[in-house]
Amino acid sequence: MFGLASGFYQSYLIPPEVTVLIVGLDDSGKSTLLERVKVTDFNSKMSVGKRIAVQQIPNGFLHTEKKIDRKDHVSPVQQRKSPSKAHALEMKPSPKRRLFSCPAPKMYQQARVDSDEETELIESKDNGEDVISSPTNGNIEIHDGIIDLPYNSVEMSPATSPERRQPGQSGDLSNDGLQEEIPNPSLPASNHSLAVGESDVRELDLKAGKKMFPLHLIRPTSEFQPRLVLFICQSSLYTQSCFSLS
Amino acid sequence: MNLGKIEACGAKVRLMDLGGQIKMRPLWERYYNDIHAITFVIDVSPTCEVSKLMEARAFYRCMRDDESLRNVPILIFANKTDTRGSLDDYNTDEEDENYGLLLEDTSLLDIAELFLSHPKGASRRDLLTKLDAATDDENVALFAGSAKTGEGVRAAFDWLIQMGATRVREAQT
Repeated sequence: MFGLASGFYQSYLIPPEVTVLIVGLDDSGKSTLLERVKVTDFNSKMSVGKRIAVQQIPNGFLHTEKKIDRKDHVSPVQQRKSPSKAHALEMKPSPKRRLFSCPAPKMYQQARVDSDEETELIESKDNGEDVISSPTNGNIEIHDGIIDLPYNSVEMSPATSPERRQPGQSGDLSNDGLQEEIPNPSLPASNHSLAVGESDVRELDLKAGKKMFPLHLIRPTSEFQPRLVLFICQSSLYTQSCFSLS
Repeated sequence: MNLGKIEACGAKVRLMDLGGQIKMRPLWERYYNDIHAITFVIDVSPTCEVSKLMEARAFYRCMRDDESLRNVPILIFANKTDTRGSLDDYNTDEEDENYGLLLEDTSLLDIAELFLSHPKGASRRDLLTKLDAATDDENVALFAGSAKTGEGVRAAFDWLIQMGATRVREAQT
């Protein structure tokens, strides 16, 4: 009788068996991924994962960006005079876009970039060829999320770290009247409002307890003008994010 | 074909790694009825050709629209992100003419848009007329990472296994 009861009990608590298929084109790293998954420890708590937040990107985020020209960003006063443009920038709350990434291993977080490489990168960015349109979505121009991560996260690769500039450098390197506001990474979380413009702040919904960053925030690419400066401040329990359109 | 068995997220997971050569690709469909989750691996290294990514997208779309894969969570894993941003390591000048158009500086967000911007059942015209139609499918997620360094792998498979385990539990009840 005890065996029957324990049998019921164990059959009730049996872990589900999940079958996962790994497909992909040749030479995309499927077998490497499989071997990596085999040695990955899924059962322990992720040490840095609790510090990462997921945020909901408002729908139309990518689609409204195409309406943003440099002329629209001369000053916040001009934006107030043109309510139609301001209306075009408005966001609707939307379902979550599932673009996630994840923190890098420790060895990558420790890496640092020479300042010479950054300077070259920034100078080459000012050539005006800053827009790549994807083959299917030709109307989407800007995908430039620049992020400061004052805590453990993915290390920016050398070509994709223009935000490491110090604030003193940014004035020298900006052109066309485009004033870039680069928040200092060493700013405390309470000072984040200093770095963002008044009408340009976009508050994003953040929920504590979520894990991941959107993909484009982690690895911005180098070919775009840094028109969108994103600065994420973090306290221990509450996460807040602001967009600043320079 | 490689097999792997792990225990993760309170579930026993069987991983099946199928071949990706052109001859092997028609065999993928035979497994669709027996699985609970799919990982679709794409190569986003800077030296990958754009045409190859487009080919991958075509296969992904076929897979996504397959009727037997309804409600099956699909993880698109953008692999080889450790090579991104280090273009100096590659001598592209030497054999430049032999290659097609390379991904090079294409941002990951562009790639993600390529794969995620067209949800199930939404045509391009729907998207143009009504942006609200571009709601992403809950069962599809794109994670970036590198299988070589392990970056991003755990987060991706945490999501996938949890989605798969949920699906299995729903099927049992």
